[in-house]
Amino acid sequence: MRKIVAILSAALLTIVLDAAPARAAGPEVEILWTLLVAKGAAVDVSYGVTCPEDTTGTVTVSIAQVRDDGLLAGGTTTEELDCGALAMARVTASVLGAPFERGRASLSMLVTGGPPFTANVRLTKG
Amino acid sequence: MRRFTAFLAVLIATLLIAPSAQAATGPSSTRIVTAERAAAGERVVVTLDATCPAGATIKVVVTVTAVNDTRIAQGTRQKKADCTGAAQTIELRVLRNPIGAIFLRGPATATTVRTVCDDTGCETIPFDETIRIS
Repeated sequence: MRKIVAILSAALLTIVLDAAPARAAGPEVEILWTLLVAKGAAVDVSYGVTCPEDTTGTVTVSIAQVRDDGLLAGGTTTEELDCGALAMARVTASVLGAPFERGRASLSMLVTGGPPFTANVRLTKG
Repeated sequence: MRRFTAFLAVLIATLLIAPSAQAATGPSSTRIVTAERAAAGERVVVTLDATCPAGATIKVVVTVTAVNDTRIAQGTRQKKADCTGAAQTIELRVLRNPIGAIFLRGPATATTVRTVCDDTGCETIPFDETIRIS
């Protein structure tokens, strides 16, 4: 019985240790551009994620903006993670808020296996 | 000791079993052809072309979002259909979310999430497109 426990423990340890380095490296995010769509009803976020090809998971993109008139615009979308490829996420404005407008906004991304990523971006007309 | 062994065995089995793969239901597509304002902006009538393998079923969930001055107009509607294998038209009456504004004529964004199912399983694909409400 002790032998079985030892073998199972060793197997478990191997699995956990094998997974550790990939987690430590983590995916890297790069934002390319953020374009307004349909007069601010949405924002197209073009981005790339560098991570091992066999990585699976999701990317959640959120944008929050305080407009010049003080109204708040915001939205969130979740996409499947595609490592190494140029990707685009369309963030639709929340019905509770205002439309997005040209100017500064706060963008945050959450990629499976990586730390939260935040950046100040400029929304431009598409 | 037996409990510990059983726990380890279950834990390892959980780690080794991968999540089930998505079913390949064959090629499918959707594209919004028209979006017409109706009932004084209370709704938008959307017609879309859908193509999916004969024998399968398709469910489309369409969300239309547009700007109305400093507010957002938004509505969602879903519909199911049997696939014919050729392009087929699906019409949806998208009612506005009462929290938001009414729809106006002009540009909008639409998200269509299609779920195509056949004997082997289902496949869900989201698709964003820019449309015009007329």
